[in-house]
This record gives sequence, C-alpha cells and structure tokens, in this order.
Amino acid sequence: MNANAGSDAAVLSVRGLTVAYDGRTVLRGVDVDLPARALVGIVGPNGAGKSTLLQACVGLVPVAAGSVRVLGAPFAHVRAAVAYLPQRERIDWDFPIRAIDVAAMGACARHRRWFGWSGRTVREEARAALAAVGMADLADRPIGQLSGGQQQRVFVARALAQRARLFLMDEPFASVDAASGRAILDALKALRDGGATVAVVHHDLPMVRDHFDLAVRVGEDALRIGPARDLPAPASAP
Amino acid sequence: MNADASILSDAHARTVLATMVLLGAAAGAIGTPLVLRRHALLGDAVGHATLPGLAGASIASIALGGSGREPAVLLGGAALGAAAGAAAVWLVRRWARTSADAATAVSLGTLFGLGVVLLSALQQLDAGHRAGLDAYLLGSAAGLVRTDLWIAVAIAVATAVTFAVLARDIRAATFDPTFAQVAGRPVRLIGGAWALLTVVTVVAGMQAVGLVMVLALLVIPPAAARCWTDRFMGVVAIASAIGAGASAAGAAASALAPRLPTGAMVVLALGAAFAVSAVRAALRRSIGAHA
Repeated sequence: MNANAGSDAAVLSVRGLTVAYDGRTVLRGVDVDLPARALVGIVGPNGAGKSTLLQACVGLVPVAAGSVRVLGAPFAHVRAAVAYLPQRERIDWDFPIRAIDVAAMGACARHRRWFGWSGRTVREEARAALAAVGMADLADRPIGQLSGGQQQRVFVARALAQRARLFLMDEPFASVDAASGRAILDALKALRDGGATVAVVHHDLPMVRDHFDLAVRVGEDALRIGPARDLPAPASAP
Repeated sequence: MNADASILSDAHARTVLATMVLLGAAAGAIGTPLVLRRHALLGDAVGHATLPGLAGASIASIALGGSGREPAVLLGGAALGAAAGAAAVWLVRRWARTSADAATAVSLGTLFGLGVVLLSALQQLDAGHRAGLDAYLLGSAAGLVRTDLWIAVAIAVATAVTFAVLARDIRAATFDPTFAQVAGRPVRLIGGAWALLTVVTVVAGMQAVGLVMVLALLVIPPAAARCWTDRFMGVVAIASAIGAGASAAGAAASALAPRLPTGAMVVLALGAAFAVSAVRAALRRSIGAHA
C-alpha cells in the first residue's frame, strides 16, 4: 500500500473509519484517499453507507473509530475548504427564500460574513454562481416556484459560491431533468478543472463511467477506488 | 371619540395596551422560525407545562406558610414548568427518536396531567386557592401591572436585538440546519436561545391570554404572514405587525366593552387576520393559475 505517499497529496484522507448508529455498523474500518483535481463518483447499493461516508467527513454523524483528514487537518480546522450539499429530502422547499438568498449563503460562508446585511461582494458572487448553472434569470424566484432540477441547480450554486477545495455532494442529480443534469455536470467538471476534488453520491453508473474520473465503490467493509471507466457495465455485469 | 380618549387617559388601560402590543409583536417574530421549522406546537407543550409549575409553586408556598398566590412565586413556578416542558420535548425527541409532533404530545399530555393532579391536591389543601390560578388558565389582561410592562419591553428588545444581530444565522439554521452546522454556525446555540425566548414569552403571555391560548400568539401571526411574502425577514416583520395589531385591537375592544375578555379578543383578532391572509393567498393562487 502506498498509504504514506497517498496521504501527503490527498485532499481527503479517510483511515480506519468506523461509523455506527441505531445499533448498526454502517462503515467498518474503511480507508480511502481522494486526490486533487478529480471528479469522483461514490457508488454502491442502497444502505451501503454512501451518505454516511460524506456525513462522517463533515462531522454530521459521530465517528466510532478511525480518522478523517481534509488537506492534512481535522475537518473542524478547515471548514472553509469544504462545501457540503445535503440530500434534497432534508430541505423544506416551501420555505420563504429566493434562489439568490440560497446562493448567497455559500458566499457568506466563504467570507465568514454572518452579521449585518449582505454586501455587494456577496451578492455579486451569488449571482455569478447562479449564472454558472444557468440560473441567472431565476435569481429572484422563491425556491418553491422552481422545478426540482432548478432547485438542485440553486443548491449546486450555493456550493460553487463557497469556492471550496473539496466538494461533498449527496445526490445532486436526484430527480433532475436533462437540462439541469447537464448544467450541474458541466459545473462540476469546471470545478474539477479548477483543481478541486468533487465527490458525488450518484446512482447513474453509466454517467459516472462516461464522465467521472474516479469511482469509489462503497461496500460493507471496504471502499474500493479505481478509474471510473473500469466500473462494470450494467448489461455485462456478472 | 369619547371612548378612545378614555382608553388613552386611563393609566391602567394604557399599561395593558402597551404590554399586549409589545408581547404580540415579540411573539410573532419568535414564532416565525418555530412555524417554518414545523415545530409550531413547541409553544403548546411549553404553555401547558406551566400548569404543574403554577400549582406546584402554590403548594410549596402554602407548605412554607405563604398565601399560595404571591405573583413572583407563581411566575417563578410557571417559568420552571415551561422550561421543564421545553426540556421534555427535547429529551423525548433525542432518547426515543420520535418525531417532533409525537414528542410534543407526550410532553404536553404528561405535564398537563401532572398539573391537573397538583391542582386537585391544591384544592384539597385549601379550596379557596384555586381561584388565584384560574386567571392563568384563561388569562386576565386586567391583572397586568407596570412590572409586566417592563418585562414585555425587555422581551421585545431582546427579540429585536437577536434578529438584528443574527438574522442570517437564524434564517440559515431554520432553512437548512445541516448546511449551517457544517459551515460552523452556532446552530445549537440558536436552538437553545429559541427555547429560552419561547419559554419567557409563553410565561409572560400566559398572564394576559391564558396558558391554553398563548400558543395562538406564537403561531397565528407567522402562519398569516407567510401568505403575504416569500422572504424570511418579510415573514418576521409582517408576523410582528400582525401580532401587535391584533393585540391592540383586542385590548381596545375589551377596554371599550369591559365585559369582553382581552385575551380571547386578541386571539379572535388574530384568527380574523389569518382568515383574511389565507383568503387573499388562495385568491392570488387561483388568479395565478388562470393567468
């Protein structure tokens, strides 16, 4: 194992990670390293622990054993370097908030600006992030009046506005239309080309194989990372 | 005209009016994150939990040789009960992993039941003492005094300052607590501050509108305000205005016709404001659907 060589360069380094809750062990002593400048698909069957892996990386679920390091440091020390996108089921889409306000949350997180009214910089960065996913025209719409795909684009825009080094996204392609899916994929590729590490929980294996760089297959006791093009094609899988 | 002049010339009526308006405005703002977070009934659990606090404090006072109806003792007991109610909802959610509404029902039912038992024990201790507590069940705005006005001022100022300083954090923690937590924002602190503001507002509002109806002060204004705007701080501001307006209308109505109970008039005014808001929202939706 080239663990030492890998962990120096790794943007995300997971070692011996064990996560258990509700009396069930979801991940058992798993390791993985994600390099810089990579678009990574997190794939695996339902309940395998894909979401749990991301949640453990950002401190949303307690870690029973092992460690997670981002850029060589514990997550709590490098929060600004990480953007996390929760699953859409966790959001109340009737909430009184506009697309631009959601994107501005990402810019505020980056600038650590939490008090007072949003400045011009925050608004301009939020508009730029919305434009990057083709949502500039709908910036002033309440999120409840957007389609599912447009809502996901707004949340991707919020992550873009954080300008992080590591992006952890839990199913950003869930229930999106074709146009939104293309817009989100293009935005994620642009992040990768800018040097970021983008880890995405995704169910669409053909899309991961054709468009992503790496795939992490989440199993019971191990995370297997490899080139995305080596994923088995669904038709030819044994 | 004459009647208006008499409301404003009577010092006690002015105190009642000002106290009600300040509490109504503060409660509308405090209730907004609760309603948007679908945790509206927290106020109900807290409100009903004041009963065992009131009855327990009265019994303790009598046992220690007091009258059993000192306002400071009763308010202290109510505040303890309210805090226990908020804590019970939190603990039931955490330990039993139930949903917010079930945890609220468990806490509300159990603590109110305890309150009824303590109340009957209090009656056996001395039948006359229950009368002092009835005012808290249904409210007695006429009993508001200058101290209550200062408490209402303090609650309104604390609420305004909290929103002025933390508006963005409150919105983020209400809309997407996961994002706020990952970004390192004090989501738990805000949750704790909200439980505290809710408890204090319920205890203060309970004297005016009663512990059964105090929930209306927290929940109706934001529910009505949501019909008028798609902005978070817009809901906060309009809810505050509706709370203040309905409180003023209720207090004025019962000053003009003293036999009308103030608290119930305030709640009716809130219900009317909600009806107007909901009809307007429904009309706008149907027009939008046809356009």
